[in-house]
Amino acid sequence: MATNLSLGELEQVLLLAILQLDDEAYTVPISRLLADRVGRHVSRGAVYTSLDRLEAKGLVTSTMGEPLTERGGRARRYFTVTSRGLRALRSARAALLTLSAGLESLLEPK
Amino acid sequence: VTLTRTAPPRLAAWLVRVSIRDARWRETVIGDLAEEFATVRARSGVPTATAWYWRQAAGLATHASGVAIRRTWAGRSSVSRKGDGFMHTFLQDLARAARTLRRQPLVSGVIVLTLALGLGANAAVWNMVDALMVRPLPIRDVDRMVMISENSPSDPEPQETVPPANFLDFKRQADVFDRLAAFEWWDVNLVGQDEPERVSGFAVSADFFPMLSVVPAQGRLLTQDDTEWGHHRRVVLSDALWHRRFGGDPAAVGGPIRLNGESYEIVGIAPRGFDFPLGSEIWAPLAFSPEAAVSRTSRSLTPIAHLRPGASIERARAQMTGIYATLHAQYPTATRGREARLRTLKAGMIDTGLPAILALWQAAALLVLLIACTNIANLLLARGVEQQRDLAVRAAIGASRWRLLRQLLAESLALAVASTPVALGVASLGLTALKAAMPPPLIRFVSGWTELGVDGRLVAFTLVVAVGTVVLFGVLPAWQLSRVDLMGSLREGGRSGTAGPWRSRLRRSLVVAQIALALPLLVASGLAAIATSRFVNGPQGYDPAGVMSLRMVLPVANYATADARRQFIERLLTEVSHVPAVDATGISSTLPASSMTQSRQLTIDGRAEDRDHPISVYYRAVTPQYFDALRIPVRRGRAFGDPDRVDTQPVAIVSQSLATRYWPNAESLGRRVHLEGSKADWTTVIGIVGNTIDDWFVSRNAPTIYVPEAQAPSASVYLVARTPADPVSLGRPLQAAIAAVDSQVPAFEVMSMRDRLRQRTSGLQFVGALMAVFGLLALVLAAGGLYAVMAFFVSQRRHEIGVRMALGATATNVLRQIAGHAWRLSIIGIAIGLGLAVLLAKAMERALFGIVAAEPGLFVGVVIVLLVAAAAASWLPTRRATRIDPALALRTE
Repeated sequence: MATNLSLGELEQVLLLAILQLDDEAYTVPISRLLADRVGRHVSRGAVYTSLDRLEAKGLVTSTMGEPLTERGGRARRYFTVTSRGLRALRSARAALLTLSAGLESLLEPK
Repeated sequence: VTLTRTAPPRLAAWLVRVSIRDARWRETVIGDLAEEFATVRARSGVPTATAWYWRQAAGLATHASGVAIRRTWAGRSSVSRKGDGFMHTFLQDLARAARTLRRQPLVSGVIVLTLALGLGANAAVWNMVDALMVRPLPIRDVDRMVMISENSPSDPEPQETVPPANFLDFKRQADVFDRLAAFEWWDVNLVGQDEPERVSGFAVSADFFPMLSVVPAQGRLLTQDDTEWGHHRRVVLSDALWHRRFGGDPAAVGGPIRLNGESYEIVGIAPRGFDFPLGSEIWAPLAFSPEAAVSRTSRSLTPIAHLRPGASIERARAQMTGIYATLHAQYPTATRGREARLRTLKAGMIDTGLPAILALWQAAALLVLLIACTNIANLLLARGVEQQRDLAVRAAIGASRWRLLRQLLAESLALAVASTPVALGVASLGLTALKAAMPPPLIRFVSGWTELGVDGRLVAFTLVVAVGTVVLFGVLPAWQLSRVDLMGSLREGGRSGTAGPWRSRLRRSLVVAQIALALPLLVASGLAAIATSRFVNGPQGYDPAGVMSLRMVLPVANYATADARRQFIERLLTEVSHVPAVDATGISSTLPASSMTQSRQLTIDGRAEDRDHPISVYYRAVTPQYFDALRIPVRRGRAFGDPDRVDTQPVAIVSQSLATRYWPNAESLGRRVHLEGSKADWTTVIGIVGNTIDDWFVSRNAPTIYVPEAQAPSASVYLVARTPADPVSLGRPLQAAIAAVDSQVPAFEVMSMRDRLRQRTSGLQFVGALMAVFGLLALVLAAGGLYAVMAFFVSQRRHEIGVRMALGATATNVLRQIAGHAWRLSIIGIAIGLGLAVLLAKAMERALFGIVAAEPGLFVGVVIVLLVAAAAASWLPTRRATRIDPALALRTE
């Protein structure tokens, strides 16, 4: 099962962004967060596709909010990271930490 | 400033909507974009925000990641019955269709080819309609131009020309036109360093070139001053003539040119490609001598006019009628029984027979397409049977009928798109062949002929018709197939692909329809072939075999007097008598099967003159040997001879038809007639000759009067010479003989009498050849259709036949069953087809002016051809049926 949970880099970033945003995690701030904090301008289509894939893998769930006038009467779609998603993130981080141990001098920005 | 909410651009939003197939994501994405649009707008203004939105929309629609969303969700949505965007599923349908068609390359190939043949035939004919009728004249604002003619109301067909004085009156009085011009035939003998040449030209009034917006390529065009009598020896050359005779030398402009024995000045060169009207190569000013300007009887002008802005053709018609009414009052004799007629320039320039012929071809092409389509419908049905299980599976997992129908229609569309280029190739080949088959001298009479060929309009037409037909004929099988019988198709062990009774009936009806449609086409092509052959090889009243003919026109400048013309003719006969292998030589002012007719009004001694219905008969001035040369039999009296000279009694010979019409119960020899324009009071009939067929279409056995050339020498000279050798071999020596008499008189229309006949039938041969092509296409397609149905019929009954054979049926029994089926279909088709063929044959009899009658023999022949084709088409499947091994057939089930 562990192989199924292996995450792509964009998927990791998205999961982290959702966690950061907590209950304000819908697509617009997610994209903005990636752009503002990490300087990553991910194409709109890629964001939607990846979120869709994450949901299909059961790593996130989504719920629809109330229809909003500023969105032309359309609801926001809020994402939450599932426990399975959290496990995947943890294992990915663990792998990262394990493999980068002892390489701090190389990897730390000067 | 009120901050009114501005919505995102609608078209871009639509693009987003159709780009995203999953309904849940679609709503989210559109919402996101709306929200962000508002942010961008608040920060940077509406234009920036709009541009931003468009960028996002375009990115979503085209970006690979946008496609990824669709792919991710495709699996889930294909079972959902609603909520999938139309554009989306449509593209998906097309892709799936292309895959399906590629999986069965043979069937798809046959369908594409069949469709391409049917479409190609239609495209070729439509191209002709388009080039020859819709836009035959490459003239700016041509739809606002009209042609004026004078016709008698009782006989509106001939496009009669207008006398100069009437034209000048029209010009003075009509204010509905901003320009009114006129042209008249002005073919000339051109003499230069090279051989003399007959050049087609027109004399045109000063308004002619400005009206047609022509800009000279060199020098200038014709002006008002040029049309002053005395200043008129100036011409404009066509680009082609300028290059042919002067090598395109600019110095030729302003220089002299010898025409009709007189010197003219070349004032300018027309732009390349300009050859209006009727392939003109030279234009002279239309100048009236003082006598000609007042003539109301010498009809030679064709006036054309451009409507003033705001003036309608109806108003112009009313005004012309009014003007003509005044002419009626002032000049009752000259205008007796005539009316001014207005038609559009296009209508005036199109040959009157053309629309009927093109309509006939288009009808035939449509029949072929119809047959091709029934074949395709049949093939789609047959293939559908194999597809049925696949469709049933899709229906079982939730695909709606509409969804399945769309899938099948998408296949039809893919077929249409695939067959369009092939159809254009077929059309292009056909058009090239057509263009090559047209005799060059006739091309100028068919405006727009040189424009035939594949162009953007033809591509568009073909695509539209292709999509139209395929969707139309895809609907029938698609509707059938989409009625999937779930249980029946999926049941394990059920016989796969058994067609329901309704579907079998449809397939059989389609084959019957094909045979029924092929038959009339074959009959029509047979009729056209018979008519052509009869025209060329049938009795003509003279013997065209072994006769060479040439034409020349003696220019007025050098042959103004009758004596000069008489001398030319006598010297020419002397010269020709030295040419070896000539049995008999004749000269006539015109010939049967030539493009020129001459007629004269006749007053008969002792018969009251009816001024409203004057007697008009064909007229020919001939030399004594003319009747020998053409082998026109002298029935009574004598032919002309040496005694008939200018100073002896004026004499005439009449055709049998003239004698029987005007002296039905009396002796016609010795009767006296007066010929319009003759100086003599009376001319005496001294002989009666056989009738001739001048033109199978319009004048068969027309009453004709012959006078001796010696008494009425004509400027129009046709030379005919009979030889036991190949007549064409006389061409050179006869031309040399003419040059020996006058090197400035060019011979033209140099061809054998048989070729003359052939050229007269070009139109008919075209009809015949095209009908034959269409008929053969139809035959092949119908045979293919029958084969497909029979093969399917046999494969459906393998089991049944196996059982019957196991129970003791012989091969003969099986053969009888299968062949019986094929025969039943063929006989029904033939019966219906015969009915249609009789109707078509009646229509063709009318169109071909009664040259052919629908002969029973032709019908019998065509039926036999169809039966043979049907037998051949059902032979293979039938044989396969008789070879079925019962053991094998039963085991496979």
